[in-house]
Amino acid sequence: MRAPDRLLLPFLSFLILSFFVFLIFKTKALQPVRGFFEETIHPVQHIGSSVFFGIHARRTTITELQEENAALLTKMAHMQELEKENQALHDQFQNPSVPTQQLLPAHVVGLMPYLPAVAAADFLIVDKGSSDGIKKNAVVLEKNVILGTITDVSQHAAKVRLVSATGSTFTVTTSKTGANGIATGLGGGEMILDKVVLSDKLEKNDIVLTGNSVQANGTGIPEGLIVGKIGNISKTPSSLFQTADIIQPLDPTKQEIVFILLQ
Amino acid sequence: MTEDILFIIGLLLSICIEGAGSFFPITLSVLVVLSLIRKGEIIFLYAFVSGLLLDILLLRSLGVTSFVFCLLIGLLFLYERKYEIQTLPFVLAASFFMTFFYLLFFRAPYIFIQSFLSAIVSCMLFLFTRRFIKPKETRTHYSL
Repeated sequence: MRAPDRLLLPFLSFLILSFFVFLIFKTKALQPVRGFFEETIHPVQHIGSSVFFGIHARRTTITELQEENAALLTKMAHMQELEKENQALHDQFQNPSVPTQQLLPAHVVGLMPYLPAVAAADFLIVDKGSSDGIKKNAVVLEKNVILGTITDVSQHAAKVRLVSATGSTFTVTTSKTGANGIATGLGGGEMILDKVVLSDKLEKNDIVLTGNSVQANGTGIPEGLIVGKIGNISKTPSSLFQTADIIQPLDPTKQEIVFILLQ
Repeated sequence: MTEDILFIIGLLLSICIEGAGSFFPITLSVLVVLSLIRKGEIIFLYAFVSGLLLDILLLRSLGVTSFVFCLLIGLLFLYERKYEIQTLPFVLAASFFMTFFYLLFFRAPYIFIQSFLSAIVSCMLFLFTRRFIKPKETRTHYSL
């Protein structure tokens, strides 16, 4: 770099200013300032998502069929559960799937990264945040189908990592055969059922439900939420575990409203 | 003045698109083109403010994107003495590598595809903008 020119001073100034902003906003004291800006900007983002990507316009017949399919899956899962339980518990299962916990509706205002028909989104941004009682690791669902969990929360917005995103793992169980395993997101809208011991039975089209992974502090994924259906099964006698594709009943990128499970 | 208003509108539009969910960092592409067309101190202000807005929209720690934007644009100006930067090959290469490092920093997926797309869009924007706005020829004054 040669002698300081006209751009060196602004370059260093803004670099230092950015770092300074980063440091001061790490403190909790300035969160309300960020919250104010979020509150101002997110309606614009909501309009932007509608205009540029037509989240609201994408409610096609396919979307409606997917939702119907998800609702049917919920019913099927219930039916299979009911078969396992005795008749005395029947009335209990007639209640909604998430009876004791509060669901908070939130609008999807952003998808990241997303290119229709090429790359499915791994994250959603919703317009509800800590001021609405949302905490990190809260579950996001729609029609009893788990869509993801909250990874970042600010005052008026939250970032949702979809269950199909890379790095997303949680325990699951199959509805019909009761096989336990781990659902692992592969990114781009794909996920697999992994770590299922060979002695467990996997059946195609069996419903995959979440296992109970609620922590002592109330965070985590509750059991019984629908993850998807089993697709192709990969089972080789030489390997320790068998795997299967999980077909998600809903496309999270086509949801305009999702529900956040308040813990 | 009119040019600046157009640049700001373009930048805000790109921030809206990226905030709503674009596949590649379109704001960075716009900033690269702006840096080459409208050279000067003001670009760092654009980068700083764009970064802050993106941080709010994408729920990142405030200041991180501004820092990366300013750093990358500073690096872009570093090459001004060595290369003819207002050419299509330079726009292509600069945009590709800047997006690559930007995505690498934020651990984003599909880094190569996103960088490639970003480079293509930057070239298109550069060609489009150059038709209407003549780039500033201030080579010796405006470099780091």
